[in-house]
Amino acid sequence: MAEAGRLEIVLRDQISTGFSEEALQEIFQAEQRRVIDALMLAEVLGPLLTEHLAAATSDQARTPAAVARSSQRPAATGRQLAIADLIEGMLMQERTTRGHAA
Amino acid sequence: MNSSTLEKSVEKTEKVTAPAASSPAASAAPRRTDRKSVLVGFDLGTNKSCLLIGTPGSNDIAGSKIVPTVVGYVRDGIVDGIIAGNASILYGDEALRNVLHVNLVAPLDRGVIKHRDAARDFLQHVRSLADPSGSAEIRAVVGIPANADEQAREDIRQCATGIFDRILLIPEPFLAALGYRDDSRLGQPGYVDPVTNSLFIDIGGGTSDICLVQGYFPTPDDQISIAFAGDAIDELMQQDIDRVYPNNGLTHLRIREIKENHAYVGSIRKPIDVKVIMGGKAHTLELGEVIGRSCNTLIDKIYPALTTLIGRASSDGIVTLLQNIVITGGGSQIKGIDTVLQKKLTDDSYESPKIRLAGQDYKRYVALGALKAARAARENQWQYLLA
Repeated sequence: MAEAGRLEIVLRDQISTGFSEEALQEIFQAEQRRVIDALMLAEVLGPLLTEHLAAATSDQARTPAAVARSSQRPAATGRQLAIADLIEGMLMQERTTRGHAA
Repeated sequence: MNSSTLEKSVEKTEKVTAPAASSPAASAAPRRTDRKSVLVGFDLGTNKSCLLIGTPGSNDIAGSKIVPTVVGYVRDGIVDGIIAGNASILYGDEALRNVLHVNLVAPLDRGVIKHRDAARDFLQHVRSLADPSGSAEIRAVVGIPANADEQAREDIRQCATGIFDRILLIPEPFLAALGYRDDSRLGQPGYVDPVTNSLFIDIGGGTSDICLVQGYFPTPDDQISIAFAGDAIDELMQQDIDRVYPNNGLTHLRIREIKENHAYVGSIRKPIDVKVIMGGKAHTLELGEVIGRSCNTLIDKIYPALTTLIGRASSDGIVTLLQNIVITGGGSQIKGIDTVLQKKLTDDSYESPKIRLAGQDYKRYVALGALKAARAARENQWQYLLA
């Protein structure tokens, strides 16, 4: 939420005064929802990754490199993959990359 | 999906319906206006672009277009009536047909924007195809080369600003996998969802993109983009032809045409006689060796990347992965490319590799995947383009 708030301040400084308040509100609300979704996803993914890591390290047949790689990836599940979830994964990667770059 | 569905005219985009209640777009925040929305799956290729047009809440494809990615700026001094409608800018096939009267500009080079003004003009043309009325809200999912850097992405966003309303940039080989996925067979016994475990080789004009698709969004480590593809083959062919047949006068477009008709990989095939016009006279050139040598260079570039990515794949599903290697893009039309790559893998002791060609709809898979992504994207996943 704090990140979304900071973004709002920066954008309000940069956007010309001619831009409608209604449109701005819509954008900022969407941005806040995006941050909330990311936080919720992180909360869900955290325990899953921990569980996956534990299983991977107990697998003696796998190389250390393979274990390290699989810990970075949500494994494919038996259910049909939802495209929106895959897009979410892409956006999370982009945010992580931008965060590291910053 | 059959081809007749794909070929419906773009004019049908006028007949849009309101988003279905169950669609992701329907869960959006209240709209600012009553503007209709148009979804565009857009494969912005170096040489050819493909757009598929749809509407929220429907699985129909309202329009399908393949447009050469080229803008023609009409030269000064062209008299009235030579160019239809006395237009000052022509696009795609029309620009190519009027090559004598225009300065042709290719907006992209090796998969990324090189000429911003031309790219903006081209995107404006794409918008007019998707929404002839000019009043709709355009949401476009645009395919980008695997490993496209932030600058390349930003260039697309800036060029699209004021033309598209919302945008999502997604790597092309992943979109190809989505497009190749047969949604009607998901869950059927024996059908392997390509999004679950496959390796896609997308050979375009500017780049060859290789991508592991294993049930999650590919990380940068899962993708390799090589700046060697159709255009580079053309350049090699031109150099070879110039050396053997000096002053041949063949244009880039003619060289590309020859490649598209005769490209092959593997053992050198002779003779491949090609009729050309040089200095107004017809000549027959034997180009078997020239074409084979140029195209085989592509194999030399792709194969190490292919084995690198196989080596990075999770060991859990490697056998299945090796049987789900798919070649798409224009390069999939090179004769023998599947068998040559498969033989190299077999010779290198990979376990029962199977390489398939994407098939006759190879030009549309990226755009089809992009349109599927556009339909599925959540409201908060779209990026706004602020003019």
